[in-house]
Amino acid sequence: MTSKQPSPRRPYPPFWEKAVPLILVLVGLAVLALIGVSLAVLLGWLK
Amino acid sequence: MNFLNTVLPFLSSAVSFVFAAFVLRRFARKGGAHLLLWGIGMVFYGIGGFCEGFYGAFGWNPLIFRLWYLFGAMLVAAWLGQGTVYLLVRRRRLAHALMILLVLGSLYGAVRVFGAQLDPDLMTGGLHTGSELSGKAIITAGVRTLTPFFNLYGTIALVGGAGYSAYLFWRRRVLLHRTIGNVLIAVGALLPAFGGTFSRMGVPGALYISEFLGAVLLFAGFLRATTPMKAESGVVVEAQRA
Repeated sequence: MTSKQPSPRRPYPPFWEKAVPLILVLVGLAVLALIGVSLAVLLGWLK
Repeated sequence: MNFLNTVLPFLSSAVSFVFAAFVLRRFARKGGAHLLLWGIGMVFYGIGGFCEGFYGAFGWNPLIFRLWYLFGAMLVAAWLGQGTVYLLVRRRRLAHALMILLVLGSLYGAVRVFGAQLDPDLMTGGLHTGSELSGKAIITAGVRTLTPFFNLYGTIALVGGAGYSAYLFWRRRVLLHRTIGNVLIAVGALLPAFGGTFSRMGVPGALYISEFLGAVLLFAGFLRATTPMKAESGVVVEAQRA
């Protein structure tokens, strides 16, 4: 009987290890900014 | 006629239609509502770019303006986002309900856009020279108010969905090609959203440049996400041999 081994996980290349979370945080902030601007337009604060 | 107002939007349009063909071909082979909706969304993207280039090359045409506003400004983001909803939302009923709302909203938007009064002279104002299309040409009240609803929904669904997918793959350190692809899609979808916002605020050139870069990044993201990397293929084979 053999036990099932989980597939080996390799870390991402160093660049992507750091870049992915940073980019995702920036994307999240950008989305929040867009939501804010859109709401400001809908409420008439911005034209 | 110049590069920014004519060639660039035609280039965006060409990239969008080629991308749409790739996606719809994949839909024809594999099925999946998300692929169909992304394909439709990219056709809308292409129509928007074409209308912008047409205006730059040949000048004002009310039909071209209405097509641009409906497909390019109002509906693109929402239909692309709806594709992501079908990909990620497990409760099919919710996805279908949102689809019905989107179709009804789109039909309503079409009626309002095609019934709206227009004045092209209003596109000239502030920093705008009138050389690029702008929603300011719509006189009828309440039409432009619809657009932020569609764009917010689409941006949150498409950018949020791609970002969420990228985060999941990154957290598990698997399928690097999908992580990178989704990051490119998230950034690519953000660019025209910002471009539209800056254009609305009167920054000339922002819209067309961001649309072109957005189309390129979306396409690159899709290709990356659907093409495993060689290094990953090796790891999968080794794991299977162990």
